[in-house]
Parts: sequence; C-alpha cells; structure tokens
Amino acid sequence: MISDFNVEPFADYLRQGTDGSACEVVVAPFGQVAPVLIEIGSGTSDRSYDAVMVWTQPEAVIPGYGALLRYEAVSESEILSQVAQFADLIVNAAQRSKHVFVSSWSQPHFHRALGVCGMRAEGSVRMLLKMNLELCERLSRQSNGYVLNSNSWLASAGSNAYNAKLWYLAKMPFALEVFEAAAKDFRAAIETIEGRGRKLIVLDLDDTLWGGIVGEVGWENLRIGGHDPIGEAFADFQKALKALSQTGIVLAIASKNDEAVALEAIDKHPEMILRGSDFAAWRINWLDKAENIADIASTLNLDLSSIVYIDDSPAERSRVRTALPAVAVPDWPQDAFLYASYLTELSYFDKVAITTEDRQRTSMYIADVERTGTRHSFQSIEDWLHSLGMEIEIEELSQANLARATQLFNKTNQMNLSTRRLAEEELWKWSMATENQFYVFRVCDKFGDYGLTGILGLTSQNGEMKITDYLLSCRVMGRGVERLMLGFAIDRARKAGMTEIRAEYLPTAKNAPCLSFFRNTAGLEHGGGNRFVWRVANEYPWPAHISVTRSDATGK
Amino acid sequence: MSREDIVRIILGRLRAVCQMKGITEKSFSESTVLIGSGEAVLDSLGIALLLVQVEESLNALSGTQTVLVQRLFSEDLGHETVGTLADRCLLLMGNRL
Repeated sequence: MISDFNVEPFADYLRQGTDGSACEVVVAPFGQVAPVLIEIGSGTSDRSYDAVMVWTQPEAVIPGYGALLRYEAVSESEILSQVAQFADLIVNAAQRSKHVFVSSWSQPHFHRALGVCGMRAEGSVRMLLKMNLELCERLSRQSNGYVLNSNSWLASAGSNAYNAKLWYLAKMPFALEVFEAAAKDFRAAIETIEGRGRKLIVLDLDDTLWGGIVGEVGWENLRIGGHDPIGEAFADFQKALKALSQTGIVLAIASKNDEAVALEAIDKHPEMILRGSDFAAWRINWLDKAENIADIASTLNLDLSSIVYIDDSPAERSRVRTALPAVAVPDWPQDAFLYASYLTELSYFDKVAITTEDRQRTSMYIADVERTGTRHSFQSIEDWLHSLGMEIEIEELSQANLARATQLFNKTNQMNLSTRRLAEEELWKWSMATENQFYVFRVCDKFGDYGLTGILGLTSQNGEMKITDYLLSCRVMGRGVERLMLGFAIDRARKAGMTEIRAEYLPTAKNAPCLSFFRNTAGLEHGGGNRFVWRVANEYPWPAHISVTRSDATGK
Repeated sequence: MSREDIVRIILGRLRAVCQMKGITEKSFSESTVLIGSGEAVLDSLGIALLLVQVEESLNALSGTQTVLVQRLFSEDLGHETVGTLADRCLLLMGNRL
C-alpha cells in the first residue's frame, strides 16, 4: 500500500475479513511514493506482493498540478508529462507484481477552483480530468494495471468525504467511510480478476421484474413502463438487467406462478424490455424456490456459487439463503424506485473486460438447453453426440484470444487440473517461454457456437512433457472435448519426441470432475497420488464424433 | 445533554474505531483507558479518529457546531479514560453554552 497520506484505515479494513478474505497488508513508508515504486520496479525489493495499491493526492505526486492549484502559470504539456512519468513508475512496478491498482485522482468538493474558470483551458478541474484520462490510458497498456474509481468512494461519504480535522490531526484526508468503500472496491477488484464473479441472475417476477401480481391483475394491468413513475422504475430495472446480459451475465426466472400466465405476460406486455429469449432458463411453478434455483443451476451446468438471486420477498430470500448458502442473495429494497440503482451498485458482476463470448452467452445457454433437450430422442449418448456435428478449432494463444483465454483460465473451476490463476500479462509471458506451449479450443455444433471453451498448457523440461493447465468450460463437459484435448496433448508430446506425457491433479473444493475424468480414462496410468502418465507409444482413442476443422498449433 | 449521553456516545464511537482497527471487543466502560498508559486501547491515529467522531456525534445530537477537537487538542491529553474524556466534553460544551 503506497500513499502520500496516512492510509492505515484502508489497511485496517483489508486486514479484517471472514472466510479467508483478510489480507496481509504492508504499508509503505509515509510519503515515499516514487522511491517505493522505483524499488519495486527495479526488482531490488526483498518482498514480492500479490497486489500493489497506489493511492495519492494529485498535487503531491504531480508538482505541476500543485502549481496549477496555486494559480501559477504552468503548461498542460508539462503536467501531462509528469503524469506520464508517474504512470511509467507504476507500469514498471506492475512488471514485478501480480496486480497493480491505482486510485483515480480527485479534489475536495469545497475546492471551487474559481468556478467557471475550473473547466476552461487553464482550469484545474479540467486538468484533473485530463490527468486521470492520461493515467487510465497509460495503465491500460499494462494488462495487470488497473485504475480504481475513487469518485464512488467519495460519494459514499457525501459532503464529509474530505475531513480537514483528520488531515490536520493524522494526515488522513478522508473520512473513514471513504477508506471503507475503497477497501470494499479493492476486494471486489481482486475477486473479479481472480474469476470469482457471478454468472447468473435468477429473478422473481411479481413485484420484482414487474409491478403487480400477474395471476391477480392480468398481464394487461402490470406496471411496466408507460406514463407511470412506478412502471418506469420497473422498466429501468429491466433495462439494467438487459445491459448486464450484454456483459455475459445470464438471466433466469424462479417464480411462484402459473407458467402459462407468466410467459404470456413476458411475451405480450408491450412495455416489457426482457422477453423470453433473454432468459436462459425458467422454473415458473408452485414448488420451493430453492429447489427451482438448484434445478436451474443443474440445467445450465453452473455452480451455485455463480448465482445471484433477486426477489422482493424477504421470506423467499431468507429461504434461499438458508437452503442454498452458496447463492448470493442481496438484501432488496421494498421501494421499486431503487431497484435499478441497487442492481447497478452490486459488485458481483464486475468484469475485467467484455469478450465476444460474453455478449453471446445467453444465446449460447439457450442453444445448450435446446441441445440437451434433444438427448432423449436418441438411444445412446454416442448417437446423440454424433448427431451434434461438433467441430473444434485449435489456436495458439495470441493477442486476439488473450482476453477471453484469461477470463476462462481464471473462472473455470470444475474441469480444471491445476486451477492456476494468472493475470493476462502473466499468462502471456508464460505462454511465450520457449519450454511452454499454450492452446485454446473453440467448439461449435449444429445448435450454435460455444466459443473459446478449452485451454491446454504444456511444458517440456529435461526431456519430459507435462500438462500444466487443462481446463474446460462446464458448458461443454461430457461431450468428448476433454478427450480430444487430452489426445491433442499426447499428440504434441509425440511430435516433440517425448516418450511420455505427465499430468498432476491438484485438488480444490470444486474440481473433482477433472479427477474423475483422468481416473476414468482408459490407458492413462496412475503415477502415484494424483499423478497420471500416458506412454506416447500407445495410440490414443480420439473421439470420433468431433472434427478438428482448424489447428494453428505449430508447437515450439 | 447529560454526562451519561456523552459516555454512551464515546463508548459507541470507541467500539466503531476498535472494530475498524481489528481490535477484539473488550467490555469497555468509563474506566477504559484511551491513551496515556500501557493498557490504553488506542494509538495516536485511533484517538484522533475517536475525537473527530465524538465531535460529529455531539454536534449532530445537540444541533450545534462545537469546536471540541480543537479545544481538546489545545489541552494536555496525557492520560485519558472514557470517563475523563466525557468530563472534558461536558465542561467544554458547558463553557460554550
């Protein structure tokens, strides 16, 4: 934690935490921002850090901006050059750290900056906007560098965000609420980067997605949109959900209703923003909601810990919290006017980047439900798999697929051999090493495109090849892709002149399916413990129902 | 505002500051030493946070603007318990009134 002011409360908030969320925090010497960044960037620091947080006051680290605040004549280019130098220090430090976070710069609300002059060419308010933009742009070139938005922390404390008394007494410019909000935001950022974001929102209908009880008032009288303030609030909530679905968050419904009545409302109400095609699954019946949510999770092959449940009923929320503790059930306001803002304030859906796969995720899940629905019309699973017409494209890691590969790498839990977690920059560096190979697998079939869903990492040392990373999205598990990936790994070992390829399963709370696959693969020898070996001289039975339509694998 | 009200405010704010600093809750009372000896529960940052928050609470409850922190820091805060701090607050507020 590097700062030019007393940042101990932020560190204190991070040091606390239940269920393993407490952080070990080292606070750098007070006001030694540049020397500490240089030390970390030069690699001479005797410690390594999982994350470096830099939180500064702009006038303390950008002297030109300080001069501007004193209304001295100083050029914009000079100030931006100082920002660039400061950003370079951070970028260098980022190259020696796992993640680097930088707070955006702010000014107290009571600093009027000469009113209208502040936003003009020579104004300090305008300059601060440009400085923040420059900082963001420079940090965006470093994939493990992130700028955190301090405005939201300040807003949480309102007009008391800057506290003059604490500054004079303790060299702490902000009220405690600001540090608390910053710590919360920092934790959310770590959770996001490490792939612990949620994937699915399960929604109630009556008085949650729309105003009124459809079974009582009929779909025509539901309050959604129109010239009605309450209806507008529900429409805005739906718009906020629709926007989230553009980022890869999947929507589903768990509602106690008559299914035909509820679906008619979704289909026919002219002001509905969300339609049937926006939901990957629904359970609209009179059964227990917790059971329905578990059933939806099973249908979509998603872990309960990837679900957020939204319901206006405190009783239903309580029931789901008790029955399914892994599901996140946020408190929900009674006031529909607050629905949209409550949703957008939740950090469960934070992302590092939005990929093409994210934008298509709901349609992918809908295709998968359709696909699975056809299973029963075939006598055997082999016949069904053959009917799917599965095709796979294999690519080496490239700048074009890096963002999605990193996302998958850090979010996949179940079919994951080693559950390594690496930031984009680290993944890229690893894949570029001479001894390593890194492949991604794109899967599609006649129902649609699954996108980039598989990852294989191989390393060769001392004449031996080892599978370091073997992971597959839960959406394609059990369809033979895992077999093809293993066959491909064996093929790479053969082409590299190896006699065997090894894999070691590292257990987590969630990756038992991966162990099961390795244990049940005929011909794969157990090398003791959770180690597996394939003798390359032995032919591997490739899955006949999958065609590899493209392979850019060249190996090293 | 009575002395009991002030003690209650100080204890409430003390718990909040200790919670933020990860100090396990003890049974705080009027005799709890805030600063000035080995058994004190707060460091210099902690006492600053406590006093600022106590002032904010007293201002909010009394509907007036005191300059409690400024006055307290003008005095010797060598050894202070919850009770002695409450006495100082009462005195300062009384003087102002």
